[in-house]
Amino acid sequence: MNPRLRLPVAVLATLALVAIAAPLLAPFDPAAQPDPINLALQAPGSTHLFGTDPYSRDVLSRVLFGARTSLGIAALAVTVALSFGVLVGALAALTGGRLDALLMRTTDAALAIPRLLLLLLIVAGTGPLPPALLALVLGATGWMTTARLVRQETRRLLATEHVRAAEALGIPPLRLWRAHILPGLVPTLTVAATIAFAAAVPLEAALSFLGLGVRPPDASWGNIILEAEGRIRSAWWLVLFPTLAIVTATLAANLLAERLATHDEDLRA
Amino acid sequence: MTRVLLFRLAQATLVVALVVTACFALIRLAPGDPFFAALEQPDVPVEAAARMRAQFGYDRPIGEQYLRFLSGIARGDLGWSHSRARPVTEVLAQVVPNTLLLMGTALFVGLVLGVAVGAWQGWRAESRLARATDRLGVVLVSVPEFVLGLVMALLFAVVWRLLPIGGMRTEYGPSGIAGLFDVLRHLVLPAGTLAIVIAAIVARHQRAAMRAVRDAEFLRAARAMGIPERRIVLRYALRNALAPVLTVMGVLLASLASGAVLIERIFAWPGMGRALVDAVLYRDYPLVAGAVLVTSIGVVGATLLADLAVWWADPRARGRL
Repeated sequence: MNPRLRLPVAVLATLALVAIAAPLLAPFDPAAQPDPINLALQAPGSTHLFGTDPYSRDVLSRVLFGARTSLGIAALAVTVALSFGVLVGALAALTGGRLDALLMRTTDAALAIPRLLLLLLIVAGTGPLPPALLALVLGATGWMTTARLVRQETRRLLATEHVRAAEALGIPPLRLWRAHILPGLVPTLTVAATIAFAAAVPLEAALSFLGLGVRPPDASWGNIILEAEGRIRSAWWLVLFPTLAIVTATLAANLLAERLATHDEDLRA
Repeated sequence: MTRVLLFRLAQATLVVALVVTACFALIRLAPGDPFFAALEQPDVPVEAAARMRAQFGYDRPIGEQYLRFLSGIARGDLGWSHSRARPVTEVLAQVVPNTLLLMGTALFVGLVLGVAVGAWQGWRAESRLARATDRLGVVLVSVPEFVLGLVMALLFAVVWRLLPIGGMRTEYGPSGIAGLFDVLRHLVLPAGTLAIVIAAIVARHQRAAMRAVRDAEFLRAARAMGIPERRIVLRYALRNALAPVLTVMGVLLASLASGAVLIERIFAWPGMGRALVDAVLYRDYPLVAGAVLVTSIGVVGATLLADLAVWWADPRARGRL
């Protein structure tokens, strides 16, 4: 592997492992409220490494389980966004003409609407969503970048010699796409997925922070911070630890996207 | 010229049409109308509930409701805010100026800061400081606005106690010139947070554009003519490297609008973002729709203006628009 990719990949892999192994790593049940009166808002100490929240829940356990929710939602959102983006982008590139123009103008239009507003609009209508649906909605509002990247790359591939040769041999369009274009799209899709991931993590956190995303008692990085509302002064640990988690995940994904993109360019050159 | 203009206008109209339809879909298709919680009670007579719905037009066929919604917007009537018991336009008229003050300040400061830092980074790309600040920029781009806002609040308002933690005015505070100063003090943290976010994005584009232009032939020619370096940077290089930044205006404005929603919530800034989040929590659909609609039209309109500015300022961009 390219040495420049090692660091961000290692960080993301560690986060994924933490999310998977959360039940083994967490010292307490993330939803347990052992003593909401005497054990609430304990500063970080030897029993509770990250302190406790206003309901006496262990913040470390909540951050660990929050990794499951937050990263799981982001990963699912990326899958949805990528599938839809590939569908739109490939369809536009392969058909060309009017449908292409229509699809791309719609993509541009969707891109011009602030994504958080669109999400608020949807959540306003549906009310609080369970994590899987939240991921679906996040994905449904995040496919546009992928669609543009896929269209651009598909068009480039369509003009390459091997695809034109396959076309001349009379291979039907669907098979042509699956066998000769899709493999060439893999680098682009990897970049698109990392970009989508880097956008999905903070969005989920923001929605949960507004009280419109993951609902307690389920832990997500955003809703742990929400518990600090009005208490930043006295309970900094409720802000610091989930914040570090969000920034680490987003930063690693952004770095990876940037380095992957330059890596692809170097390979092509 | 007219063709480009028409194309852009058509595109902007498409966006607005999409948003309008989405807003209508929200009001109409959401499970349970705005009266659901209040009227579906055992002690509310069925006829009373029906009368209430009829009064706000919720009993008409869906097509007619859509047309009424459209004609309402055309007349500047966005409906009735149930949670605030006032017309939506009245609620918005109260909060929009505050949001414009916040976003305008953030955009101006962020653009100036981002262009200055990015241009310097691009020009001196090899220097250690430029590289270090560029890394800082990557980190800043990755920090979500609300996280940055919380950190700023924690540092400046809680730890160092330099600035007020929220609101727009001190309660029972001064008026007149002192009152204006009071608003400015309250503006520093929310606008500063958004400005940093904007500056981080702008700087990355500006840096790339400046690096691309740095080794251009025309700059070597300018140097050979003995034009002072300072003038070369400011008048020749920067001027050529500005257009790419203007073209990301749409992205900037969209992220600014999203950011403002969160920042207003954190700093209790009495603007549209806060009204929007409250409206979502209260299920006040007309207010949600109105706020989203006004913000989207604002973003789309401003982006259109920015695109036209690029078209006017940079002849090279004309083919690309």
